[in-house]
Amino acid sequence: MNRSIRLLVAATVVAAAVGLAWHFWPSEENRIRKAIGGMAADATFSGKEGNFAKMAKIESLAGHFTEDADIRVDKVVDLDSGLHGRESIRQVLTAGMPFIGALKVQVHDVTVEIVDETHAKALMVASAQGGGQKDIAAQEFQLKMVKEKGKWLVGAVEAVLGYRKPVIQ
Amino acid sequence: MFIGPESHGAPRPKKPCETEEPGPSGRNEVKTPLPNWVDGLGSEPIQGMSDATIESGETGSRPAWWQVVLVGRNPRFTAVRIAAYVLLVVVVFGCILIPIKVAGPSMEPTYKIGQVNAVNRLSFKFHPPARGDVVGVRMAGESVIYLKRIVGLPGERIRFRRGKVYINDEPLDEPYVRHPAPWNEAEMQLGDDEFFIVGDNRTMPAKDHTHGAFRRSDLIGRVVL
Repeated sequence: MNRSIRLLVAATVVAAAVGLAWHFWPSEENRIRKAIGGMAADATFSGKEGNFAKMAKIESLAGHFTEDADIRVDKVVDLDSGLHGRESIRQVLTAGMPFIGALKVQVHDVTVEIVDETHAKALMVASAQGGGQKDIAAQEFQLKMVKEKGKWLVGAVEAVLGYRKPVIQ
Repeated sequence: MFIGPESHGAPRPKKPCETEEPGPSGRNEVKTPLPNWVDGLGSEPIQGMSDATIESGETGSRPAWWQVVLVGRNPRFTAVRIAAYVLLVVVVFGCILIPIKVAGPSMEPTYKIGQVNAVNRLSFKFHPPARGDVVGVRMAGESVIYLKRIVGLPGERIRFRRGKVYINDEPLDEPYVRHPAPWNEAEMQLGDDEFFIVGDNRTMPAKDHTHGAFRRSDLIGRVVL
């Protein structure tokens, strides 16, 4: 075996080892990214799910939030009071279940800042596209992540407005 | 197939470019440098010339047509060329242009949903953002960006009155806006680092249209097309 082949094999082995380590022992930042990605996956509906499948997805989606999770989106929609607690999130999602058609939710440009061992902040853009529609709605969100029982959960969601909005008269 | 006087067995007059060399049989062979486009003829013996062969001189080492299609006549040069193209694409689309696909109606009719375009990151390096520029504006990153038009510049006062834009109390001529809804908004004083950005499609209520004062650092660049 000549030298270049040995080098190639060594590089492949090292790359595979790094890939495996990244997959099986992810950093806290990657765990948070996976949690946020999982939340987006649970918020995505093909439109062909039955009610049981929708219920299961809603249950799973609510499970991404802490018991006392706080959602504030008043900067972008008329929902002044926001949502407080996992149970109210579950109730709102369940109430909206009959109206859920096909919906594709994706997260983009996630940046994670680890505050301490059990707390982190994440900034991201979430986009949503209804089934059969070309129009995509996008919004920036700031998340406060909390680690509970080894799992990263969303403690707070706040819609971020990256610009000054004029006052509509 | 070449048909000439040689096919009748008549001696062929020697051309100035032909050379006579002793062949393997000891007899002289006529070598004619043929152009590439007659390669198909070059390998075929001409009738009536049993004591002479015509060789192209390249037929033996010529790669198969599928090799030429796949990797070219010179694979090493092709590899270098592909690497150069890949590098060019990485540099252009990684550092200079951001390819975009319009995914909302806010810039209609100028830019329609599904249209493909690109934002030039370097455009503001040479000329500052100007009124009327259609620009890409970043959100948390550059994967999802706003596509809007600059209507207000730093330090200006701007307001909407019955769907018309007023800059420092002067109405702004906007030929790109069709059928604007009667937006009414309070006057806004732009800061030294702020640009007022709005889409061309103002047929919807103002609250449903993302617009306002964005910082200079949020402007990525002008659209190319």
